Amino acid sequence: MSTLKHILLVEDDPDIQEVARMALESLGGFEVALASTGQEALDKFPTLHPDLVLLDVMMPGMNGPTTLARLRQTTTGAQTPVVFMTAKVQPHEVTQYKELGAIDVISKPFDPMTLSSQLLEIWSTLEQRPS
Amino acid sequence: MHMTHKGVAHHLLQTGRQTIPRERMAARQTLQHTGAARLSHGGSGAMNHPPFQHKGPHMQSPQPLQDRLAQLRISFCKKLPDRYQGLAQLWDDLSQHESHEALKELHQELHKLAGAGATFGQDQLSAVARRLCDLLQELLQTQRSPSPTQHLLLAQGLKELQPLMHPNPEDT
Repeated sequence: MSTLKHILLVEDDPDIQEVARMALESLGGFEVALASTGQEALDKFPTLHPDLVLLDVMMPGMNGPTTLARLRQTTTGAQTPVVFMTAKVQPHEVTQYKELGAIDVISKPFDPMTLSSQLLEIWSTLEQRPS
Repeated sequence: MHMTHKGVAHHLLQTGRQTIPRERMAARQTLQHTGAARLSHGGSGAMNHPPFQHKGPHMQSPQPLQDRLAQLRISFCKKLPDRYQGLAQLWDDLSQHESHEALKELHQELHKLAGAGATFGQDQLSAVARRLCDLLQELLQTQRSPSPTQHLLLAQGLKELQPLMHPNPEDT
């Protein structure tokens, strides 16, 4: 597994988007690209080709699960790891999201100080998964 | 082994370990103590950033991040009265002309408020917004008009939000 460097952050709330971006760039040292809607993420994806997509579940218009499903239908985004972010996540929902193709779920509100380490932990588990 | 904040971040990147070093724990505790652990918007949306903002190989220590997060929190709190006006206007419109779209819009605004409120440590605000959100979600799913009781609960909830969205500037 390559190093996690480029992240596409998809979040409709500008406040949360900014907090997450700052945390990922400052503490994680990641390169972060932003999208405010699922459609914007899909439009930007082919040129960005991120290592990982951090995707909000509940967004107006196209929600996270639909965005993921559309991404999986594309040639460039079929295999890219996606991590969902959502509030009030229940264990059965985590299972549900993983069945949809997400590699993990980060619950909101996230701690900006540990968001990067959470993502790195998730990223490290990819090495242990059968391809 | 003593590590600087930069060293901690570098170590984290190299190893991908979840462990939180003592230095970072101390930084987090300081942040929580100042009420800035979950923190607002500096007016920069997705459209304002070029793809992949890269800060270079030198990552910042937590302190500048904490300072920036604290500024965002203050900015978030300052915008709350305007956001309340927006919610009140939506509610007025809904009370006069009920529509699925208006309910949806109110739900989305409250959802954002609940999420951002929790991020910026406004737990009570977040809890009330979340409660209203759940009520509206139920209405949206069933596609029913609010019953008189639900209408009352929504009105009461919005009233509860008012003082929470007009914080004392000294508290921010």
